[in-house]
Amino acid sequence: METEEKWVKSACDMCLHHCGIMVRVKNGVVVEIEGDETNADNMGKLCPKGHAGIMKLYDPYRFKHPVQRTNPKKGLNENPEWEKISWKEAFDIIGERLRKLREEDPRKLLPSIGDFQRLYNWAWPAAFGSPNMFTTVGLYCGGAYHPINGITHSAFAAINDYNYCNYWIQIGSGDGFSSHLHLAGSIKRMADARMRGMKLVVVEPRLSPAAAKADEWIPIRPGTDRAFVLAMAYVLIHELGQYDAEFLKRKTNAPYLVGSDGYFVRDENSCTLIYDPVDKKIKPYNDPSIKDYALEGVYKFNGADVKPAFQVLKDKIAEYTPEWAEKITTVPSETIRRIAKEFVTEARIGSTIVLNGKQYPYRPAAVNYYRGAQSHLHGTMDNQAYKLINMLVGNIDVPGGHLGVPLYHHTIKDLVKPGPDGCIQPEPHQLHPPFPFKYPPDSTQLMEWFPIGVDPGHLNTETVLNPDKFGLNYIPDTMFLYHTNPLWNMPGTDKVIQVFQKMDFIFALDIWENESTKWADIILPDHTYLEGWTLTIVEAPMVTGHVLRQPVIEPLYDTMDATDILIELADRGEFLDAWNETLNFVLGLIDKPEYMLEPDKKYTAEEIFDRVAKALYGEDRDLEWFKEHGNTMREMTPEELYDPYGDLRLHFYMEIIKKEGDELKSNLEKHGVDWWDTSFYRPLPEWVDSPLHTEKDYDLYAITYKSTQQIFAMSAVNPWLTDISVKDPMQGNIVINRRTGERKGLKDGDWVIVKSLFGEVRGRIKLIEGIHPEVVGFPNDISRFLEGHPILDRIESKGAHYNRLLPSSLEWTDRASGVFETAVRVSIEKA
Amino acid sequence: MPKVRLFLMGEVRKKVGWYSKEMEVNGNTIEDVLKEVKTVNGDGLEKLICCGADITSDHWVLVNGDEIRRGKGLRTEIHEGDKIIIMPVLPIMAGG
Repeated sequence: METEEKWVKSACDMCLHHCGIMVRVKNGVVVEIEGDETNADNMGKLCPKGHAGIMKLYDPYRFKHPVQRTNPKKGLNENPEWEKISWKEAFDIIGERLRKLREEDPRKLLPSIGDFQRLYNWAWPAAFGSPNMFTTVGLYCGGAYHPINGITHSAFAAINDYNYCNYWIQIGSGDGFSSHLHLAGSIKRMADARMRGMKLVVVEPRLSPAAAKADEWIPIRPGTDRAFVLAMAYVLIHELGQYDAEFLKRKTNAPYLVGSDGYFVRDENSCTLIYDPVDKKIKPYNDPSIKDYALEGVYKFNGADVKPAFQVLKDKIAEYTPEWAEKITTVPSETIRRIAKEFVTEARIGSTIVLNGKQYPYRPAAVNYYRGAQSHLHGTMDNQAYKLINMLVGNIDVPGGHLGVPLYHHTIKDLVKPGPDGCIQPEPHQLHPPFPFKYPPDSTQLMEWFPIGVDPGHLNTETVLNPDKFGLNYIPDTMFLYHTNPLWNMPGTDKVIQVFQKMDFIFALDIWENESTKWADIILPDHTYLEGWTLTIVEAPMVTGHVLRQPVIEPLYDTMDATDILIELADRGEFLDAWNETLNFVLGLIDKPEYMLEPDKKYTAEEIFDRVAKALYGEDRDLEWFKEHGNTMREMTPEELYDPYGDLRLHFYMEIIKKEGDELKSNLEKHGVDWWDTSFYRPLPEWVDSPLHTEKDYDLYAITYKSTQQIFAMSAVNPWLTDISVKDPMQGNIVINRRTGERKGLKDGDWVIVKSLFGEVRGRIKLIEGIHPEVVGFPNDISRFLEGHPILDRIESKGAHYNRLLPSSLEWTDRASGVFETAVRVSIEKA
Repeated sequence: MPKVRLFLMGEVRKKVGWYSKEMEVNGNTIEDVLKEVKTVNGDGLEKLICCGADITSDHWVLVNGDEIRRGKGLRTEIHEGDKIIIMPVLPIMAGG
């Protein structure tokens, strides 16, 4: 028999991002997946998940056709007793529901979406008319991260400069090792940087893959990283007097004078002011006669004391000595001093580098961070602290420093716009414009009350279960699940269950049955990524372009592409016109009106991406071109990466945050809401006691973390990946420090109960050296609890579901960013 | 008389009767644009989406991607070639 074999270029979808892949198809069967060497993003590399994508395609437990539940009872242990139905029947039932809901009140649709590579499809509920979002997939990790990246760099994410950084401090992040931005390419970039001599210091509670490979691991008490960094700032400013004063004076608002009310003082033209120490005069910040800018001192303006923003910071951190921080973080004071000194020395303040004939500041030392460092109750200030320490050495968006990463293919230079007071326009919202304040709110995630926040989807457990408290004048009764699993991925499982119980009807678009889709009335089965379409880029560091996902084989089963499903549902729900105009907006087709979708015409996913390709790259790079070449990914040039702000200044002092908080407070009080805490809105980071640390009844901290081989735990149904998890003692068990465990009479393999104020879980314990003595670690790999799945059942500690330990409440939510506290105090005992 | 491209989305489109068109504006602010766009009832669009000197909390007006509340509101200046989108306040892409 003659063998028919081909390699097809496409995009991986085994995590949020989209490495370029080459798929080997032999006689119509996918037999191998490799990295695409022509893709500048991942440079031919793939992580374990990417290689294991074959098992997603050939997963025998996939939904193979639409199904309807026949068991009217819904619950964690209820079998839906699925019955096969036709696509026509499925669309008829859901279409009728959607039409009725739109007539009655479209806000009653509660969508929950987690398909990151097809972000445009997240707009489908908006076209329907629902303002709601019942998900924390992005919020969990990036709730406070994204807004502060938007205010600081006009960026969505951020990364240290893999190309030129020489001293990389990594706090609570898997970048370059195990997770976050475009893992496969980032691992290679990190390895290359280490090979050329870059020093890596990792600060986090456990010996993570990053910490294990670092030059130095600094174990830290969970949720105290901000104190560590504030003490570094103290050392730079108060002890060493070393910081990039020229950068702060000329490229930030650090010299702007601040009044006692915390706002910048302004002249009669509403212009912010600085003090010129040469002329000994207060002047508008843009006065051409300025000879120098004071960063320190106290001056008189209209009879009142005013200080440069830098002096405000200096005063604020005056007590944040390394000795103070040691008590909070457990990191020895001498370590903090040494790291601060190394950091500022390696930053080479004042040095320059010439790239492509242009001279740039050269600051090859930077702090990178992610979820573990800032998904906490005061996550906004956590992020402000990490930006601040980078700004102190002048490393923002310069070679070697800390670089903004755009959400899409744009460069930071494309995104930066002039804002107030000579600064860049702060862009806390990268996904949609800021919601205006509204009382009562429309959205169940209270987006109208988070002027700088990311949609805090977990607050549905507050609003849907207590609508009167928030003035909500309706309750959703229909849930739409799309590539998500809120029962597993949201905090406060018991409350999430109660939200599910409020629903009259649930429909789901997914590939698999999971803890949440199991509650659905109808399942609409999606193609896997090896059978469907998209043209995408999502938060790719160092590179830009697009990559095509295309079918490498004909669909195996009676499934449909999610984009086509949503088009059909929009048609059945009689809002195809609204969906097409929304797609025109979110896919950028309005920039090239000749490629816009007509309002009432039904397009296929393939037709839409042909238009997107042409709108982006012209007629000669249509979908056919992408089918052959796969991608347009390329390295960003130095001109695109560095110094993108021109004469605009950065927000060292984030007055915008204070202003938004004060306006929110005033608006809420007008409606009698005096219980909403706006103290989270501060222009500068500081240390505030958190109940996480003052809790007395639970002696340990619990944390959770991702592994290289799993995407959260969505992929735990993949036998190849779960094979790795169960064989890795660090990933297949709850872990605790050996001495702590032994003190509690625990030994390897014991079954334990871990309890928090909010819930308890059971699992097997592994005693290890590589974790802070106060910490219990929960890898994602063991967190799934779906009953009766043969792959999940191979995980001994299956069901050690970390989110059960977390609260889902306003009290544990950063009222500025919307992020919730992702660490929790616990106790542990033998089961 | 700057020529701008206007996009009306969702309920706004339905009330006005069209989705997108290029139009010359007799004036140079968003307020002038709104007065010139007539709903199917013959009212200026400002009657639909404004409350006094502000846009209602149910609508966004974007000029070249920037929501006008952050700037000068209805007094936001418009220029030749600007792209103006008027849409209901709905989370185009929620999450993070």
